[in-house]
Amino acid sequence: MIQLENVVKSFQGEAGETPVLRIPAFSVAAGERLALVGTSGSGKTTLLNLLSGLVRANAGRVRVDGRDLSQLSERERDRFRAASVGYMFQSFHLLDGFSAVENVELGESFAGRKVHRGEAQALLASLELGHRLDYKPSELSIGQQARVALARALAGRPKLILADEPTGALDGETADTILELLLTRAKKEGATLVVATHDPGIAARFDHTVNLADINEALEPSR
Amino acid sequence: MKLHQLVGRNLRRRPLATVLTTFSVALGVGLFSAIGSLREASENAFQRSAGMSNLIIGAKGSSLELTLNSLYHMGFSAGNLSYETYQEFRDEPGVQWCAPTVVGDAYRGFRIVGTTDEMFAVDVPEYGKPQFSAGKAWQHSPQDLDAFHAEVVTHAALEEAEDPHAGHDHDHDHDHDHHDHTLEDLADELGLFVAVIGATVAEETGLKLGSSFVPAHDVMTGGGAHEDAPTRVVGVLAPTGTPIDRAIYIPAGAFYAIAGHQATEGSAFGGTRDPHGVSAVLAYVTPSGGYHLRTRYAWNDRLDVQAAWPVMEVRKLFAVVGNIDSALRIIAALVVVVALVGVLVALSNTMAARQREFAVLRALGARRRTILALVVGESAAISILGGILGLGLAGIGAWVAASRVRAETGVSLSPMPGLDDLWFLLAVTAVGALAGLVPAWRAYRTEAARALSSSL
Repeated sequence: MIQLENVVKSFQGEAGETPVLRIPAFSVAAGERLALVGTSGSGKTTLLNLLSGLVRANAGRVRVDGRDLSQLSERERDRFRAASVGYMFQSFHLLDGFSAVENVELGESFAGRKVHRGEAQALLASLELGHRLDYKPSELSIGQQARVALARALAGRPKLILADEPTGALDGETADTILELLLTRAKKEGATLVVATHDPGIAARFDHTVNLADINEALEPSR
Repeated sequence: MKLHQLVGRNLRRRPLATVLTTFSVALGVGLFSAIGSLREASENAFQRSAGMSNLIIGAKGSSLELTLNSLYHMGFSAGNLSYETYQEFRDEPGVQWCAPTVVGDAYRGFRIVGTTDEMFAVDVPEYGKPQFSAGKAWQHSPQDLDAFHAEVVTHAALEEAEDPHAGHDHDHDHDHDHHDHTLEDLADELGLFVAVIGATVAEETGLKLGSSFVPAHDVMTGGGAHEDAPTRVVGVLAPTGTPIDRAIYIPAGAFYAIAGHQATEGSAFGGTRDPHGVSAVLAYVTPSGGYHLRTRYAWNDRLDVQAAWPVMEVRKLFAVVGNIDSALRIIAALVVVVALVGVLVALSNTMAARQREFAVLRALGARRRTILALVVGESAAISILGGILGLGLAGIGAWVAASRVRAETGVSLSPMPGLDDLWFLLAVTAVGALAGLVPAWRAYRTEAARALSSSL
């Protein structure tokens, strides 16, 4: 599902170009549920952005679902992301002016398919939010917001689900619930799941764990 | 969720800014539309009325003033033509229709026009001959008028012989001598104290078939009432959308018979001082081969006659008015431009706060072009909503003011937008969308990954 070869990603800063990622090889099989562990600033989010096509590598190959993202134009990567990737952010990034169900609909609005409100409603109902469909994010608890964000990532049945510290803003019990939902839903949909986390306890619940420090050569000089 | 739904939702998220900017656009578009429709309605109404007569003759003076006074019941009469001139013109070859007018009286601000029953044979463009909603026309043919006018002249001569100053007494409160009484008695015997009223007169004054009223001297200042000449309404005309609606028609003989009218003022521009003359003659001269124009030139060459071609006079009038109209429309367009700058500023002010929103949409697969279209769409939506609201307000304004404007000016306002308005709406929407490009460009350039990481 995912294959990285000699990938380099660096950012232009005041002090010149700073490499953030340098990964000679990395792969994830289809349907695998992987925890990507690393400290803050280790490049976890950047790697997820590379896998989603939000950013492009400076060098190397990033193949996802058979497509070399480093060779695609921005427009093609947008289309790929809309059709194949579900993204769950640490602070969820739900849009304030939209209801819960509308936020979920947004998750499949750009894939070029017809959006069915019924599907978004059913998805939220399956996450025990059937009674909060028309609530705005500000009217929901943090746990409910996390469920809406999860539903949005699942909308459109993506082949790849990326989650960046999805439980970082949640208390222990809620975090457990959301993580369980994420794992079971990804398995049920047959989607590949990559979750970035700094918490070894969370990582332990995944099929596989990769420590970014082991694959990212850009981190070596500072260690 | 489709783009237009996203646009709508985003506008609803900022209700105050959306309402204020939409209303400011509406104000400009409404002004533009109102000015245009008022001008168009006026010009159409004037041109349509001008088509009733293709030649007017009156006392020497301004042809525009003659046209406005005799056809549209506006302003003052420049003086009188001699009655003989009217008779001479009437016999002119090619004159298919003509009606003399004698003016000077009014009832509750509506002009009383002394004329012959030929007036009711006028052909109103896009309408035909005037129709009666109640009653019928009085009978007073040109020959009847000739006969009565001869009596008037005879009475005046007798009066002059008895008292050389009596005929030129301008005081309306004077004691009537026996000759005036006789003339009024004669008019009464002939049944001349009757009137046909226009539709607006009936609506505004409450006069109806069988009502009586007392004419007052002087249409502009409202002089003394002619208590000795109570006039009965025998006919009410159906609306024609022309100045006919705002006039009260009485037999010209009755006008001459009313005390004080034997001493009508002459013209400062050289019109005859004949107190028994006519104010103007409305005519329709055969237009074939430009005959009516040649007739106009020929009559205009006379020192005592002003000949006017109403269509041309109206065109000249609106050429002048058109400049004012254009200036007003430019001002209205500037109001719209200022409003659109307001839209631009309002949207620009939100761009920094919306970086996260754009980044999330990009992360969900929205293309940069979609983000651009979203912001441009918001600007265009405010513009088109404001434009439609403006046209609606202008239409409601026209609908509310229509009856009053028609009563006072004869102009029928339409609440429906014209083609000009629709083009303007299109232009406003296009310019609004272009104005939206400025903030949209900033949104377009949003780097999703950076915006998301900085808004954690």
